[in-house]
Amino acid sequence: MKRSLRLTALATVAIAGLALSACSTTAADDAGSGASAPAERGPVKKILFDYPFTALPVYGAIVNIVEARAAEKGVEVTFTNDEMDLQKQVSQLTSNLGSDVDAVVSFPVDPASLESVAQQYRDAGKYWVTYGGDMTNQDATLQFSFYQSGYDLGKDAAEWALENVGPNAEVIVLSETERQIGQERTQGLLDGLKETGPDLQIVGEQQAVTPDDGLSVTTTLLAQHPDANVVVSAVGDAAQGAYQALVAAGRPENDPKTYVGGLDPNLFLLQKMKDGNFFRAATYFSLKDLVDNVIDIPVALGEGKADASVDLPVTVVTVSDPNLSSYITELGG
Amino acid sequence: MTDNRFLRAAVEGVVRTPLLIVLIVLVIGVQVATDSFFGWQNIRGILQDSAVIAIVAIPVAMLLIAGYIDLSVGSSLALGGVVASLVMDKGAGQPAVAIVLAILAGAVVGLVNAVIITVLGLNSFITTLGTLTAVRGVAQLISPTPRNNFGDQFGLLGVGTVAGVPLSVWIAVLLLIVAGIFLSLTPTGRHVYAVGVNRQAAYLSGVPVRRLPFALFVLSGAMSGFAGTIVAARLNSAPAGQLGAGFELVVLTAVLLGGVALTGGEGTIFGVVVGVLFYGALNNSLVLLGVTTFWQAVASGLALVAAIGLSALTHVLRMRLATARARKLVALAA
Repeated sequence: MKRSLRLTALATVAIAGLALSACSTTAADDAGSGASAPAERGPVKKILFDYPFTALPVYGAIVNIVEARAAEKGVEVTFTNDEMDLQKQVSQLTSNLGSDVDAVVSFPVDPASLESVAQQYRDAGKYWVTYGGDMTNQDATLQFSFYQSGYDLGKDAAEWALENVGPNAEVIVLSETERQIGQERTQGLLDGLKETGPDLQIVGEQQAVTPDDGLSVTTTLLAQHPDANVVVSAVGDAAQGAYQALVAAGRPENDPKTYVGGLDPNLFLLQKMKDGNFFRAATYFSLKDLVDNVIDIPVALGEGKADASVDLPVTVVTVSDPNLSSYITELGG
Repeated sequence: MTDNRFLRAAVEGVVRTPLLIVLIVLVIGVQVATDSFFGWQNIRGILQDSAVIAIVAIPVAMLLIAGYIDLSVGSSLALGGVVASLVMDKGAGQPAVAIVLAILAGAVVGLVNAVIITVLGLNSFITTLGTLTAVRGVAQLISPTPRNNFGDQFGLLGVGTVAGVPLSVWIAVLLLIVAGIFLSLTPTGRHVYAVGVNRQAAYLSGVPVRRLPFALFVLSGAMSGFAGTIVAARLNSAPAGQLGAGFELVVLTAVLLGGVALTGGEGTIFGVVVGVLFYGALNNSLVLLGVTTFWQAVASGLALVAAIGLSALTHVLRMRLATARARKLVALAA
């Protein structure tokens, strides 16, 4: 099941992973530099969480964490249903302008397209928090570095390849290049690989977003390069497909000369890592640490905190990470 | 005379399935350029991808021939995969039960479509567009977190082989043969064409113009549910939001490439096979050639437009051939 025609429909999914490990380039300290002067605002009692990538496996886990945190903090939270569509995102946010929410936390499909909506929210006396990005019209931002997470994974993959295979190891890169954040992550991956292992052979670089994509593309590239040692993916779900493609091609799951890594891994991959199989690394952080901020940042803004932005550091997780089991648990395992 | 007959047969063959020629040229070209196309592992990958498309393309093609469209197949596939994943979570269930329940889940979606479209008389495009969204939501509701690790037995459905050929390919071939026989050699198969050509005339001829599409919609749902089990088995996971997303477009493209007319009444299972293989080979070739993402989209889109144009052209050529033959017969009779 194929990429090309599906790309349009699935383009938004690409960003999917972003939810988990992604990241933005702009510093969090830019937050609050909105163009419009915000209206008089008070404490935050009701928050609208606008997360457009509802098809992602991680969405259910995110909703659970947000609801639990809202209950802890004694605030109410509601959700949009954008169905991964920018137009629908704008429409849903516009519809909620007149509602009684005190703050919105939005993951913009395209930040520039939401600037005017954000300004309207602020003009209406509501707080605007950007999730996974940076906008001109915002009161705070929740970020996680895109380029760096890609770079760190690329570096880890190259170090592993040099140590376990040699400088001529063959590498497949599964990229995501349709959106800026995906491009940054892919560029980070490539830079990390090339700087750490300049002689490594990148034998294939193809777009893959979903598990299906990863499976199909990797199967094809393995037919061309059957001895490929490393597959790194800008989207974790695609890494899952790559993993299955390698297994289907007869690669033992504990093969000492095979490495699969991906940004924002899903439950399946983390379990494979824990089992000591060849899914060896992922850039990750506690989902709870990230998602709690969906409630904490607007509440802090309502309490008058001027510098409420958060820039969450991303780390490379391997089988030896002491937090691996808790990461698996928070993803529903 | 004999030579002429052979020549005419050859010309008619090309006219009927010109995509086959394009497919052959494509694969030879890619083989020359990459030296990788004809490797068994590559062919196997194409066949595995194509098998799932083909299984769903069979009922979708029949529905198109009968003048209906089913856009909900991607979501029915996801629902089937999710239902199977619930049964097989952590390898605890019975594969046969998982498969049967997945088929039933898909069939229920098909049944809903069938009732709304053939009994209540609503438009199939609008109805299945609605169920496309609704069924995806149901799949996500019943499994918000993907189940995985279904066990080796269930995994055989996705990656197992018989005589070196993937099991899913054998299944697809079997279903295609049955569908081909059904459409071309049975009275009910011919009724499918009759409904698509002229529903009113078919009704007046005693063709069951409601029951037939009703059964085809149920079949479409059931086979989509079954395809979902194959995809889930291959991935060893079933993410409800992503499984089969956009699959309806993939299937429709392959079916249209194969010469099935959007207007109904025209198409063959052989054409569907060629369309599915062409679609799989094209995507595979673009990867083998290292074509970048955006150019892949350009190439696929142009291929679709070209194929539709080719289909229209062959339709005109067929009409002209038929007209010429009729004139010759009239002249002979005179």
